[in-house]
Amino acid sequence: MEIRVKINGKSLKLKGEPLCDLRRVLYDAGYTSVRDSDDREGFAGSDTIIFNSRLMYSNLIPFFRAEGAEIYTPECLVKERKINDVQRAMIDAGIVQSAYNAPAAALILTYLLEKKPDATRSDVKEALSGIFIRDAGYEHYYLAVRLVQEKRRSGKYETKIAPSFRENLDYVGKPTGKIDGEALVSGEKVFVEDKVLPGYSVLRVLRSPYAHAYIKSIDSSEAEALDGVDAVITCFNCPDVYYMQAGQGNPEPSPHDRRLLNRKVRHVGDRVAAVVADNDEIAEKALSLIKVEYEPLGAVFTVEEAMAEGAPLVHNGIVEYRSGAPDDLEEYNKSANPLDGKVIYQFPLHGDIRHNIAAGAHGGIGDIEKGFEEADAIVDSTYQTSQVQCTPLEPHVCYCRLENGRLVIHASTQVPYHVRRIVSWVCQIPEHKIHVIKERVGGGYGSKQDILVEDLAGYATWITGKPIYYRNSREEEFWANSTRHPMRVRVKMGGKKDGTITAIYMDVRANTGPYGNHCLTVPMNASSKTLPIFAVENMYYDLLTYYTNIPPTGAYQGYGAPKGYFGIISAMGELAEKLGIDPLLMAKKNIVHSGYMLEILKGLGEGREGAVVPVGSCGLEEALDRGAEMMNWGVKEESDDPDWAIGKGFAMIQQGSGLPGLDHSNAQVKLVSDGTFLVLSGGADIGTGLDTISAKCCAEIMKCPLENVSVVSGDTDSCLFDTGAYASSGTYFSGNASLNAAKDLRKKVLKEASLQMEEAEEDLELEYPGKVVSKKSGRELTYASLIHTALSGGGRGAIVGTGCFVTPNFAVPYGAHFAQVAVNKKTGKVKVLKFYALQDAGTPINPELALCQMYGAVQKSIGHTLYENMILDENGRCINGNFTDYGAPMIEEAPEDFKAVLIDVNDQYGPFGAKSISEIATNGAAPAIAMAIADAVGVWVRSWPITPEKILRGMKKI
Amino acid sequence: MRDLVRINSLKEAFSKNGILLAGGTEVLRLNSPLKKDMPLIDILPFLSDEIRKDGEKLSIGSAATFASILSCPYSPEYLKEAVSYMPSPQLRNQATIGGNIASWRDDSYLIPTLSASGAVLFVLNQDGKEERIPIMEYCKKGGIILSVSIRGDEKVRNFREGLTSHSHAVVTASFSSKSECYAIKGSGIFFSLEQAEFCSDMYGRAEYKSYLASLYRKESGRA
Repeated sequence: MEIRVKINGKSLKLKGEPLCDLRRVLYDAGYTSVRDSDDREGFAGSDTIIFNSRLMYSNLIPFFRAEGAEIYTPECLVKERKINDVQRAMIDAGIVQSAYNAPAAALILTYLLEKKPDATRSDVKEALSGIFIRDAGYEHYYLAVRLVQEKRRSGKYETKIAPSFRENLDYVGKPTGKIDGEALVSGEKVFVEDKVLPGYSVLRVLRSPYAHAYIKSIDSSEAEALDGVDAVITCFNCPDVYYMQAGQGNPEPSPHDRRLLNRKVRHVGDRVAAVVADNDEIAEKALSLIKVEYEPLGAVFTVEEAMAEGAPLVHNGIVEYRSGAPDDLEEYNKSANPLDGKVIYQFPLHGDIRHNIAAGAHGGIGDIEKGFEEADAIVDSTYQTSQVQCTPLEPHVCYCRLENGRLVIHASTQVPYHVRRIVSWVCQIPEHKIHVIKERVGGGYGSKQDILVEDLAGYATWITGKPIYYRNSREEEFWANSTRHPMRVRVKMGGKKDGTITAIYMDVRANTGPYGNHCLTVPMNASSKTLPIFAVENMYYDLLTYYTNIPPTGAYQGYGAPKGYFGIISAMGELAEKLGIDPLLMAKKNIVHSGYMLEILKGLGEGREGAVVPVGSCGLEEALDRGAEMMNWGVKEESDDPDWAIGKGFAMIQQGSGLPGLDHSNAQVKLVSDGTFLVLSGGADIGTGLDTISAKCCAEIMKCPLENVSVVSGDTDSCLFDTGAYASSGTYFSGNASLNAAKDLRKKVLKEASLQMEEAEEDLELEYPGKVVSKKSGRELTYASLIHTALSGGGRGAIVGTGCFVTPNFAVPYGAHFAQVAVNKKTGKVKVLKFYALQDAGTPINPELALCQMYGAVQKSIGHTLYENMILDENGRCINGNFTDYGAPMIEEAPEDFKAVLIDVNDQYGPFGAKSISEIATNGAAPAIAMAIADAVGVWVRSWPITPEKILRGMKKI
Repeated sequence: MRDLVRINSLKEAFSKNGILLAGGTEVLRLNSPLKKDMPLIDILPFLSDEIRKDGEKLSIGSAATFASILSCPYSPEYLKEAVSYMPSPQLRNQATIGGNIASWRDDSYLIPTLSASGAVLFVLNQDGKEERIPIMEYCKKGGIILSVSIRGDEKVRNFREGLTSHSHAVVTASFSSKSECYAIKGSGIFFSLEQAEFCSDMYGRAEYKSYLASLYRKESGRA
C-alpha cells in the first residue's frame, strides 16, 4: 500500500505492506538513524520516533497507521550538516560511545527540552525510561541536559564536564569530545547494516532443538530445489576444518573444537544447517523443508553435572595437540567417537575431555596449610555466578561480498585481524584474499571478540559468490552468542584478629558450555586479577573448566574477574564479620602498594610461567580512602521507613591493560599533502574512543590542532596488524602504537626539515599549530610547505611514521567501589541508593569518556548482580531470550546518587601515563552490593542474581 | 506477512476471523502470546478515546491511551499509579486501556486496580448488543470493550513486585474496602486470595508469589 506522510517537515509518499513495522519502512526510505535493537519488543528504544507529537516505538507501529501522520526522526535534528545543541552536549558529556541508539536518545532529549526547557532530573529519568543504554550508563545524560540548559541560558556550559589532567598537554587528559562523535550522534550511515547494497542475499541458520545430539542425517534436497535458494550448508558439505571462534592471539589458548557445522550439536540453538537465499521468506521456507534426523543424547548443564562420574561427554572425539602432546595420547584416543569430531589443543591446557574438562590450571605461593594454621578464623564459602548476556544494542551482524576476486567482510568486530585469519582458515584461502572492514561497532562488551557470524557468512559468500547480509535476531543473541562463563568460586580465607589475612585458597570451577572459547583465559582471570591485589604470603588456586550443553560462553567485559571478585571480596567480608573487625580495615591491611613484588604472578601465566614484577603505579589506597570518606564509612545509616534497612559495602579491584608478552599493536601516521595527518591504526575502536586517543597522540607529538588529524582504524587492508580490542588493551597497546608512530613521524619530519632548511636536526623543534622552527635561526617551515616539497618532482618522498608496541611491562589499573543499599525487610527488594566508583586509570586520555565507561560498566554489573540471568529449561533451552524477561537494567535501576571518580596516578608505561578504564569497572558492584545487603539485613547471598526471593529465603521469610 | 482486515463497523469484526488490533503494543510486540499468523482486525477507528467526568464517575473510552489517562486531571490517583507501572512513555503513548484489559494478562497493569475499584465495562457483545458488565466477568463473556466506568472517589491500594522497572510483574494486587484482585504471573487473574493459584516458573517460586500476595493483603488492611 502507499500512504502519505510528513517526515521531518517534508510531505512524501511511502510504500509498504500494511502490517510491516513502520521502522523498517522508514529505514528503507533512508531514515537510517531509526534502528532496531529488540525485534519489536518495545524495550530498547533504538526505534524511537516522534509520531503525531508523541514519542513512540516505530517497531510497534504498523505501517498503515502512519497514513497522514506527522513523523520526526533523529535526522530532523541536523540542519545543514550541523548537529543541534543537545547532540553537541551529548558528545561533550561523553555519552556518545557505541552510539547505536544515540540518535534516538538525542531525539528524546530534544523533544523533552522543547516541552520542558527547565526539565529536572526526574523529567530526564522519565524521558529516558524507554531507552536501553548499555555502554555509558545514564548519569551523564542528566549532565548533557544540564549543559544544554546552561548554554541556552548563559551562552556557555557552567558545569565542569570532567576533570582535566596534565596541564602540560593540550588534548590528552582533556574532555575534548570524540572525533567520531558527530557522525555517531547524528545517525550517519556508519554501521554494518548501512553498508548493505541492494540485491543482497540472506543467510539463515537452522538451529538445534536439542542440547546434545548426533545428527544422523540431513535431507536438504527440497530446500535446495526451492526457487531462490543458492546453497544449503550442512555438516556433510562444509569444510573439514577445525577452529575456534574465540578471537585470541595465535596460537590460541582455546582448543580448536568445532567446524562450521558439526555432526554433533552441543546446545539448543547450535548450528544445524545454513541457507543462502534471495530473501528472508524464501530462506524461512527453505529452513522448514530441511529434514534432520537426530540421535538425542543425555546432556549436562552445570559444572556439578559435568564432573559427575559417568556424565555424558560433550566432546568425545579425537584429541590432537599442535605442540606438547602427552605420551599417552594414542591410548587416550582409543575411546574416541569419530562422530564427535576433534579437539585440537594448540598447546597443553590440562584438559581432559573424557571427563568434560576443557582446561585446567593451578598455582600459588607460600605454604597454604601453614597459613590456615596461623589463622584465628577461617571462612570457607562457595559463590555462584550466573550466565549473563552482553546484549549489545547492535546484534551480531556482517555483510560479505566479493570484489576483484577477494572476500570483503564488513564487520562489527573487536578483532578484525583475527576475523581475517579465522575466515581464511575456514575458507581455506590465503589471508591476502580477505579484506575485513571494521565498521562502527554498536556495542561489543567482549561478545564481538568472538567470530560468531563472520565465519559462516564469509564462507557462504566465498562459495556462492553472492553478497550476503546476516544479522542475529535478539533471540539468537541469547541462544547462540557468547555469554559470561557461569562459575562456582569456592574461597577459603584465614585471618588473624588484627585483620592480617594469612591464607587464601580459590577453587574455581567454570562452565564453558559447548565449546572452549576462552576456556582457560576467562576463568584464569577469576584468580589472576584478584589474588595479586592482596599482599598475602600464602595463596593458592585450582581451576578446572568444564564443557556442558548450555548456550555458548566466551569473552565478556571483565573476563573472569567480576566472578573472582564476587567470591574473594565476599569471603573477606565474611571473614571480617567473623573476626568482628571492619572489612575496610582488613582490606587496607592486606592490599598491595607500589613496589610490592608480585610473586603470585609466577603461577598465573595462563599456560606459561608468569613473570614476577613489582606493582607499578597504584592508586588503590587513595581510592579506598576517598571512597570511604565519600560514603561516610563506619557510620550506620537508618532509614526513615521502618520497612527498609540500609547497609554499606565496598570492593577493592584491579584489572590489566592488555596482555604484556602476547598483545601486539601497530600504527602509521602519514603527513598528508596539505600538512595535516592521517593515522592508520590497527586498533579497533568499538565506541570507547580509541580513535580519539590515536588522534590525540598524534596532535600532542606533532604539535597540531586535533581537527587536523583523521583516523582510519581496524581496516585490514589499510592498517597494520593489531591483536584487537580486548583484555583492556586499546589504550595501552593500540594507543602506544599510535604514539610510537607519531614519534617516528616527528623524527622523520625533523630530518626532512633539516635537509630542506639546511640546518642541524638538533636545532629544530616542532611548534603549534604545525610547523618546524629553528631555535638557532628562528626560521620556520610549515608542515604544508615541508610535505609539498617532499612530494614534488625533486622531493625525497612521502613521510610516514610507523609505530609498533609490544611490552613485558604491566600497567595495572586499580580502584575501589562503594555501595549503599536499602533492603525492604518485607519484600526483599533492593535499591542501590549510592554507588561511588573510584578508579586509577593512570592519565585518562579522554576523561569524559572514561567516566561514562565507568558508569556504564557499573550499571551493567549492577544488572548482573541483581537482575540479569539466562534461564534454561530442563532441556537446555533459554526461556527468557529477550530483554524484558532477561532483566536488563534501565535508568530506573541506576543508583540515584552515582559518582565516578578518577584517581590521578601517572603510569610509567602507558601512553602519556594512561592505563585501561572500562573492564575493571565491572568488578566491584557484585561484591560491594552483596556486602551492603549483608550489612543491611544480615544475609550473605552467594549467588547471582541476588533477587528479592533469595534475600527473603536468607531472612527465613519464605 | 499477516493480513490486515478493515471493517466498516465494530459489529462486522465479529464476523471476521482474526485478532482485534487496538493500540498494538500487545498484539504486535515480540513474544505476544497471540497467534502470529492470524489476520489483524483494525478496530481502533471505531473506538473512543474520550475521558469524561460525570459526578464522581469517570468514563474512559477504550482507545484512551495510558498516557492520556496519566495526564487527565480527572483520573484518580490509584489509576494513575497503575498506569505508570507501564515503564516507558513510548509504550504509554500507544497502549490503550481497552487493549490492556482485553489481553487479560497474568501480569496485567490495570485489571487488579480496575477490579478492586469496582470498574464496569461497557461492551459490545457477540450478539451485537451493548451491555454493562463488571470487569471480572469480562474473561468469561468477552466482547469489544467500548468504555470503562470507574468511580473517582474509590479508595484503592495497589501493590506490584517485578524484578526491574521493565520486568513483568510477579504479583500485582489491588485492594479496596469492597474487593481485592490479584494478577499472579504464571497463574492468572484472581478475585480473592483464597481462589488464587501459584506456580513456580522463571519469575519465582510458588511460595514466593504466595508470600507476596499474602503480604500485600496484610499491608492493605484486609487481612
